[in-house]
Amino acid sequence: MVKYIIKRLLNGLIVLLGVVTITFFITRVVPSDVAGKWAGERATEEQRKQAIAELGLDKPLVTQYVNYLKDLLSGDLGRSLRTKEPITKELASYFPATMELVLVAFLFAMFVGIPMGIYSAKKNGKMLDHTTRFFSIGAVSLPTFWVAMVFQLVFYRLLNWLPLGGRMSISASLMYDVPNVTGMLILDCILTGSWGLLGDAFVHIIMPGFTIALYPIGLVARMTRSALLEILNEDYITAAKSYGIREGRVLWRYALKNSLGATATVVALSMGYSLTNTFLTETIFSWPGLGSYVSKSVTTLDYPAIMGIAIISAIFYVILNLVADIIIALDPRIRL
Amino acid sequence: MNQKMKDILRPTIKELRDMIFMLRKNALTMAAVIALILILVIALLAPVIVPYPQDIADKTNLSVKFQPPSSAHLFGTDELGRDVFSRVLYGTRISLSTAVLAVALSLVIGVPLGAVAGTSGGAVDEVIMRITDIFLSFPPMLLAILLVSMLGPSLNNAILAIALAWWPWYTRIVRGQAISLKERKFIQAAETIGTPKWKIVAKHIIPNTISPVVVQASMDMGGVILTIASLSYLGLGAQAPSPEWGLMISTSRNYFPDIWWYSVFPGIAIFITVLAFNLLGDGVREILDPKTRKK
Amino acid sequence: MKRSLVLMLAVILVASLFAGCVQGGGKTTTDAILYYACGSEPYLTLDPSVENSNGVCVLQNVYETLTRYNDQTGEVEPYLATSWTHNDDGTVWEFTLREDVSFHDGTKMNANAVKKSIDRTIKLGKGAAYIWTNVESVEVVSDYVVRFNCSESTSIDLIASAAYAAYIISEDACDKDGDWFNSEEGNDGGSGPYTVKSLVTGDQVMLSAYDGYWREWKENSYKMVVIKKHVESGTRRQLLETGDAHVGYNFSTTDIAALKANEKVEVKYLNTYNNILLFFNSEKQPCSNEDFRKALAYSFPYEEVINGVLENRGQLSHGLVTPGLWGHDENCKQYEFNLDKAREYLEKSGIDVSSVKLEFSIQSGYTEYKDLAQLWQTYLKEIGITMEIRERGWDSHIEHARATRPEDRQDIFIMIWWPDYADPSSWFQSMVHSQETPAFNLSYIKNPEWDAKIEEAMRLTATDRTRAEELYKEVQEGVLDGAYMIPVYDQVLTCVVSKEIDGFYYNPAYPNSVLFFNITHK
Repeated sequence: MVKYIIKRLLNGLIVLLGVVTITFFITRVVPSDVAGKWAGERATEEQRKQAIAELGLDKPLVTQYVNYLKDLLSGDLGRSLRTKEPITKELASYFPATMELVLVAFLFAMFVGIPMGIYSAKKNGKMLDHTTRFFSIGAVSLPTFWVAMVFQLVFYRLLNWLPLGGRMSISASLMYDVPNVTGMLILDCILTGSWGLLGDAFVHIIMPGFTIALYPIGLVARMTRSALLEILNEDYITAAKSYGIREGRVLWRYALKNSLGATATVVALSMGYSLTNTFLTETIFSWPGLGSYVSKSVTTLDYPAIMGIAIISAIFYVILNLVADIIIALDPRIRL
Repeated sequence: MNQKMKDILRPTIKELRDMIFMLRKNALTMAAVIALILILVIALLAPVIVPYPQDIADKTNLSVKFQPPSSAHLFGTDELGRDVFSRVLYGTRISLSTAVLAVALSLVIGVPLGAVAGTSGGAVDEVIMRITDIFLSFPPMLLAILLVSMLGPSLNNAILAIALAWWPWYTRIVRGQAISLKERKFIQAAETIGTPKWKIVAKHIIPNTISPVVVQASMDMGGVILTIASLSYLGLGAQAPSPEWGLMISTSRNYFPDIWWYSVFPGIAIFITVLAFNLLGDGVREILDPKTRKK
Repeated sequence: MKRSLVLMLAVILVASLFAGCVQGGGKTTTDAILYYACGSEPYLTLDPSVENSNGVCVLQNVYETLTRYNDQTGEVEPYLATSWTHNDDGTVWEFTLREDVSFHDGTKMNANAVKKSIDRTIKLGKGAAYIWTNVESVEVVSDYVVRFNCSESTSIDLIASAAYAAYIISEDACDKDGDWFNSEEGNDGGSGPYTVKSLVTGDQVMLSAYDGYWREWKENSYKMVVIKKHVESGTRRQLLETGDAHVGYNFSTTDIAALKANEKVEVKYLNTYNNILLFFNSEKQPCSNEDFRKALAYSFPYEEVINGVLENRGQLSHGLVTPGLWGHDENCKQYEFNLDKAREYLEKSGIDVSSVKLEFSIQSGYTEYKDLAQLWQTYLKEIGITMEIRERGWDSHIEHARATRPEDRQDIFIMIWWPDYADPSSWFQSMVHSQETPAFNLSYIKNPEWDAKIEEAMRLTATDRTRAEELYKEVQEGVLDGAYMIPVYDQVLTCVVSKEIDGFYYNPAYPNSVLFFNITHK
């Protein structure tokens, strides 16, 4: 078991190195006026030369690569060409906000997706099953950016139930000291006991969180359903039923427990999709996270920032994969 | 060649017939099939059936911009006075053709690599699979965004980027198939009579993995269509004046919610198309999965 | 166990919902806060020597410059400097400073601080630092007199009023680096009416009033200002409609229409010094042909773009220099939309249109570019020319135009331009003067005669402005006559201001920024 996890960890490290290498060379191969960006829009030739030296662009590519790796190991991702800020600082500011959304989406996926899947499995083949199946498949078929717009139209403009966007209202941010422990506002509020701000933050996360949760909800519901169906057909369940144990009890006690492994794997992986979906919706919800940072960095060809984003997303993915692998490994029905 | 084709096709046709039989028992999946046929017909006949074919790329008329839906313009008009209904219908053609191209391209990359990895084993297998791991540990959308921003935004580059992000999935499937095929008698026979490895891969392995791959590919269509729309929405895919759905929503965002029809209808078009593909995929999966079939 | 956990979570969530409702009513604190909704990040860096972007909207209120440009009179006015003189050939300038100004850190604003600030900006050499190119040294003459020595005649008074790279920083802050200025705790070294209270990187800036400011605060001035990013026009509109935000810029036509109907706000159309220009690639077939370029110029639907697409967010251009600035020529040659003339020139050019496929490169994220491009495309089609639209992010857009080989570049380019300070030289020096490797000369013009005239005009700016103006007019006449580049329209900014506030004024020399000091609540 330990050996297996170590092996997966090493595998993850190799993957990370690969991601770093590939993004590094993709971003360097494309001809681009990096020096011009560093020195500024309307820079003179002299300023440009100064910039080239500052950035070490006069050195051979391999040397640049080695230097990048060295810096990376010491936790230095370089500076953004656009803002001239350290990338690590920018990521530290943007990533927690996105992470918060992804985690909230994860919670929604668990609390809505799993019951939906169970229900659907219980009513297998009946009208209700078809309905929930339709909803769960519908959820993964919606363009997230469009859903975000429609939600704003309905819940802000028409019903005025939820705020339009942002992480908290301006008045709340002035009334309370905004805690900053992890960068995830809701968690920080709970940690520091800022209950007043917590309510405000919670109201703000519902709409973006649910938009992003749609995909995992659909996925989790489908997965739970099929995993449950598979188990419900197995002999020991039939046996349990024939012993006269109530159906509900069979479902919750035996079947669900055994299907959790498969579901958890899908949940973990669907968080990866959630991450991507934040890229599409954060600007719509004025959410100060990685998504807006991605589109800004990509359109301005801010290479150090793009590299930073690639690395942090890859780390996130690798960790998720690792978690999924461990869950599978813990599942006694799978022999390694 | 012909005989061989038939040999390959015969079991596939039989499988297909079984599948259709199973499909007919599932109303939801059947509805999806009908919807898909309709969508296909729209895509094929778009230039002929749209009421204002000129509005696709040749004409603008600012005097009728932002008209709400009416009998003349079922879905209203856009910021340049073009008929949204015509453009949404025409968009079907773009979305389907680009998605098919993207999937085909990722098959071209993924299938041979998977077949080689599966048959060779050892170091070659290890290297190929590590490479797929690297690609799979990247959010496909992010990889596509990265690539397109490097290559320059255009629909063709978006297709290329999606293919580059998608191929590892097919590599994995084909590799799995190839490993099991390797043990089969006819492959071993070919090996003993000294058939070169590339020939075994090309003639025996790849043709025999076609049906699971095609099934997987058709299930992926929905996801690919969504990805293309997302890229276009970010300005990294289709270019104006193309009536691509994602691009239309991206432009319409500026006029939302006053000109709601401009945003709502392309979104519904994406939803219906992707949903139809996903329902079909789900139905097919259910049929192929022996465990759920038991019941 | 699990069930109790779920229950606990549910209780917390419900409790927090109630908490949210209770706090929702607390409007009292927001009354004294000015909320400024901007369309993109409020700043890239808050280092006043370096920032060359949106950050002006913050810096203008936190820092001050020696002089300030009055767009009504066209004159440069005293700000931190009370008066200034220069020698006959405009190479030595002396500024006398106010003696009652202190920086936010408590130190006095004096000649040392001015020297250190300008030296710092020149030494860092980033952003708009090049405006000081001609300055050889800055000297402290006495505590409150500072001297600029220039290599050639330069109008330092105008340059000192620039919106970028001309801010005076406290001596202590001059020793700090960008990280200090961009710290989320809010650091600055300015002397302006507001200090930076806190930041949220890339999203929000909070300013609070500086009590020791040298001008007097009014009773009902805003003591707090929030500058916050809202990317979507629709979001900014909704914030103004609900009364949350007080000022917002740049709205789509439909949002403007809706806001005009709203009684709580006023829609303003603000003239700017910004114009939108088309550049034809004069080094590549077919745009290397002058008649072909003219055919293109006559095929562009100027009026339709202004009336139909922009809906008053633009005005017909006359010449390269925008109205309100000296050097502007109302009678400058201007092309009109005339497809017959376009056909005529097309024939004259002798170019076989069937083989032509033009690439029109536009910056992404701007619907007006996309719309005018599509409109133009349909008219070009009418005269038989095929044009493809390529939308790119700004950096790819500009880098494509700077590709090493002219053949790799686009055929037509579009970009917005504004002067770094209130002087027409910017258009000519950057876009007409020949450049070895093109930076912004994106028609790739190489004309030694024009180069000489531009250099002469820049030299004469401080001493013989009438002659300088004549020279600029001659050059722009030539550029337009040869149809190298076409000014399409002068940008008119849409700004929506809440009726709760008074004292809003927009000075086009300071893009997208407002002096919050002058704003009061009713």
